Amino acid sequence: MAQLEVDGLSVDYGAVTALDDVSLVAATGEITTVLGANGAGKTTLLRAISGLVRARVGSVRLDGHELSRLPVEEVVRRGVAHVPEGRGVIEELTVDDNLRLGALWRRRGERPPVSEIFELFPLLAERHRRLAATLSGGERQALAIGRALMARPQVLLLDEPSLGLAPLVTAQLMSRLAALSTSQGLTVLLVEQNVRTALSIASRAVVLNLGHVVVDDRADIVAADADLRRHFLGF
Amino acid sequence: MSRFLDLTLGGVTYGAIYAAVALALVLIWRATRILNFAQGAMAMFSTYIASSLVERHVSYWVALVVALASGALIGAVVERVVVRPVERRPPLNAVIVTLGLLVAIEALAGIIWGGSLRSFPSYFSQVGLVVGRTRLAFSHFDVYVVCAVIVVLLGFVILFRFTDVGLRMRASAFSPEVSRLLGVRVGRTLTLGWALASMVGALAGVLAAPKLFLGPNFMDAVFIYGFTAAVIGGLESPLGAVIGGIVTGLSLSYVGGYLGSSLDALGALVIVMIVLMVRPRGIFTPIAERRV
Repeated sequence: MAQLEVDGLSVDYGAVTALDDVSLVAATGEITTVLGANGAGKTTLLRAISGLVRARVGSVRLDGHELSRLPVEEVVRRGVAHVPEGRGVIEELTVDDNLRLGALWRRRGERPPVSEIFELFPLLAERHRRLAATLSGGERQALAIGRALMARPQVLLLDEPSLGLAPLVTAQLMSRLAALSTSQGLTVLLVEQNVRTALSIASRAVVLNLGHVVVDDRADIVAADADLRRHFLGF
Repeated sequence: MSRFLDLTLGGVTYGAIYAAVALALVLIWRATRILNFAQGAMAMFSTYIASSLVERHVSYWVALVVALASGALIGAVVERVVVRPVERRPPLNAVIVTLGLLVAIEALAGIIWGGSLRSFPSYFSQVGLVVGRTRLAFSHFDVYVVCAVIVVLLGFVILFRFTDVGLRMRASAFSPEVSRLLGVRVGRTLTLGWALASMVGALAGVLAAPKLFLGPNFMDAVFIYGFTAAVIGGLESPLGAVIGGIVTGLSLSYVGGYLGSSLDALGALVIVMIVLMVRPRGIFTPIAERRV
């Protein structure tokens, strides 16, 4: 069981309110997608969950345990792994080192072998000794997600994984994610600009507008609602 | 020819000492993008501690270990108390803070130990080795200095390439925010980096003291040449720092020997100028690839 609950979360950047009283639940083993235009607060939401920005008020709980007062480096130890926007692979390190880094906080005997990730993303295996700087966009995304999985998280926060990827690569990535979530019972909170694809794999969708939750419903219902799509999602 | 050999050998030892200072600077630069202008002064302070112990008839090796430990401690405290507040601020803040620290530590050493120069034991003989019938300008002590610096360099290569701590240190240096998301305790890692760097600095102090004389500002010149070495090496690579140190040591030795010892500092300046003109990022920094 790994249910992530966000309750009444508000974040300010100086005088600007980025999130205002945001609440949502990401249920165990499901993909919950967070949609909305640029500046709606999607990235801020993920950053607040992992502690990179501090909320003014509100709480973030994993299975009832409060996360919102923890330092960033502790949040992953509680089982929440965050793949930041722009992929966040460390270009100066090799693929191997990037992956190893993901599990380094665990005790020596409890670290999953890097080969586990290579089974999931075979492309990475061929490039495992190369610097991450030499990888293509899709490979980098695979590396970033693989590195997060090295922590054996219960919850995966993904910030625009499809950004800059070719449609075919995006489709492959999304189907991988869907499979992972089902097979490992992984709870996924997926922030996406690519609304169609995100809705197709998610079971629940939350739409943010100017820091507010405007919709929180089943993904298929959101996908079918023409008004909603026109107003907030632009297709 | 024998004069050339003497100058070369003399340059190598000094080069090794500059290399140690350069290593310390490079480690801190990589981790925090801060040039620690107080590195020499911190090393001087540790050397004084060793000197006080040796005067009380404590063994050289115990004094050395205490000096290294004090160096690590000073480095950690400086990072936590003085540097942390200016990290991620405009670079000039850190420059002013470490310059202030340099002045403060030298003044403090003057208050505690006085301003007069004192000698420092070398443990190994400083009389030149004899090969065949010629006496070289290279003593047992010089051998020790060069070996000590090589051991330290190898130690760092192993630490960075093959250990978890080294991977954490590299990751924190390249990308602190991502490292924190992956559970690396970046703050602690930076403190450790400063401690290790200052330990190498302290080693440079203890190695330089017998060749110079120990005084509150005896490391100033060594620091400047160590800085020269670090710039030649490109500030990023430990190996670059060491090679930069040897290049600086040799060049200064030749300039001093053939052109007159008053030209030392000018020589260092000329080398830095040439290197920066030909390779502005230093010799050992890979030319940045185009980021996709």
